[in-house]
Amino acid sequence: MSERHAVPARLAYRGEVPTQAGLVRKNQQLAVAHRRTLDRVDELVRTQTRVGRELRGELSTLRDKGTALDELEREMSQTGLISSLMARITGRSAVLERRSATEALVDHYEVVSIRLRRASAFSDDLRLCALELHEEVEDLHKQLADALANEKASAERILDIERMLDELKAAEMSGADRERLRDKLTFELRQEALMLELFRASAEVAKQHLDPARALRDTTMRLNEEMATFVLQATGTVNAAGRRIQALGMAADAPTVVGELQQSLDELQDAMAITESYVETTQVLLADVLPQLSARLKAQQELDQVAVTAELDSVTREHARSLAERALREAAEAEIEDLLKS
Amino acid sequence: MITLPRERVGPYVRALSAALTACAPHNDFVPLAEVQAHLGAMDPELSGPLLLPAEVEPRSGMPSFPWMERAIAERALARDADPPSEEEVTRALRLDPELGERLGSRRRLQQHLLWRPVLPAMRLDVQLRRLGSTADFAVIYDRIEPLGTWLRVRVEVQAPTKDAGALKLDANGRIVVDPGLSHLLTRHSAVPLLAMQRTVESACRGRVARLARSRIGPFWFPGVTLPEAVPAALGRGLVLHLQTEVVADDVQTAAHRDPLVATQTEKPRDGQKVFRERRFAAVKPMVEPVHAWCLERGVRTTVIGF
Repeated sequence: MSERHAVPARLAYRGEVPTQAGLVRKNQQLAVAHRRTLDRVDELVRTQTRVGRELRGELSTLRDKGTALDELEREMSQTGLISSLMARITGRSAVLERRSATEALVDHYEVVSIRLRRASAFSDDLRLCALELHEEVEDLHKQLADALANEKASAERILDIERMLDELKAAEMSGADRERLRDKLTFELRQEALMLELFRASAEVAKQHLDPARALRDTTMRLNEEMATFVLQATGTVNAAGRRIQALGMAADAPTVVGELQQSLDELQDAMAITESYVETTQVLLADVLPQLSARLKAQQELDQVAVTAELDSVTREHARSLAERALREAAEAEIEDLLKS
Repeated sequence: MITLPRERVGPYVRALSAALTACAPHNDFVPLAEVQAHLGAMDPELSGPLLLPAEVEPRSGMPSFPWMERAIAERALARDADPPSEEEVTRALRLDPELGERLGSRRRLQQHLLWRPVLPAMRLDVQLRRLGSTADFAVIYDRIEPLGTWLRVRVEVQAPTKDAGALKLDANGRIVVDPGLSHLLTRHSAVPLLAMQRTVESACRGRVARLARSRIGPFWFPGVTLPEAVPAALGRGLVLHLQTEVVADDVQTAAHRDPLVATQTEKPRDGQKVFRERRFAAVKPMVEPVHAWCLERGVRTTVIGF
């Protein structure tokens, strides 16, 4: 046989070469992983809502206690005859009330501080989850890019083999050689067509899992960003309050300290407003976003089964040619689409 | 407030820890093991960036309350939830080294804190020592003070068994402590020692046989504001103070060995004496200057090199 009639060389495919069993397994693994991640994100959202609520409650109590102290301070510093008489009568009870308000404030500061540390640790958990999901999205993108490139190369080889088969009738060679070459080419054609089907299925699996993985990643990132911002703002305010609260134990009689404390507690109001909107956001995630994601995931899993278990055995010459032509057409369309995007 | 740059935090806490070990504070001071565990947690070698910023009180050179409190809160967290697993730390390090460092630090910190008590922000512990014609209580009050110094007040009170005040026993013999007692000790931690003794006696309607008020700190180092009477040269090295004041039946000889406090004209109750001392731990080149300054102030006290 001349070089002109040599069978086109087998291709070195990009990335992992899929098998039917491998694809089914991978598809199931991804479905299970997404289900698990969805449960994890669901748990993270619930924890986040709980942490946010607890913090809101504690910040609110801390503020109330500070306000009570301020009220006592104001009552004690009022001037005028009646106020002065009242102060003599209620003086001791006011001091006792103030003492208990100060102590409650100090105790409560510690509770808030622990909650903030917990929120900070939780924010790191969210970040790790978001990074892992991002890595999964990247892997799926790579799988898709590899599958599409392999699909294109495979389609080109199929058309090369097809062309050789067409030219075989007119080729100058003995009948036995022609039959031998036809058998070889047909075998290679079926092999390559099978590979093409697998690459198509691999690309489909990647495409179908990309969306839910991306949505889960974005949800987790959003949670992480909100929690991190919230923790940062609340930490600054609570730390400032902490310094002043600690000074109270020593100098509870100094109105300046109480005044400064009040100012710091006013800042807590902002931290509480942030918590408020934060808890609402996580509520929306729980009520809408996660159930929608869950439904989409379920529907896509059903579709996946159909895509992957396509009949790979029924590969005929016509089928292979049409597969190859379709693959090349789709690759060309994708290229044009990319060109238009840029 | 002085905020230490990250690279200076480790040397700072280790120097404070070494100074404390050199002084070997006894039971009239806050427990050494708790302080060492606390400082260990605050060392970025263990806790990385988790407990930062490292703020130091400029007038005392001691760690600020919010910095100390972060370790207390982290301990409460360690007792409540599992630390990040080794596997999580490895995964995080691969994906984001900064996050990995934080998770690794949290893992080390929580493991460190789980079985090691740290200094609480405030603690009141009361025990019954003897029950006879009087109920004898031992009161220990610890606190991180606003200036960052670590205070311990130890009181031995002989209280009446009937019509008692802030300390009493209920019908089942259990100790009942008036919640106002800790506040009283807080508010009187800065008043003259004998005034504090009288206040406690009045609150407990009993007799204080021994009252010790001891502080760890200040910790002088370059950058700390020294009291006016102190030469600036003493702020050029590391110097830790351990101050104690005791008024008790069992003080054999009255003594005043505190170069920062003027000799008092106080009159303790008959049979009791006052012992007042300030010891120092100083880096070796500072031992001699501190010693000389103490002698100049008419006080012979202990200066330990570390």
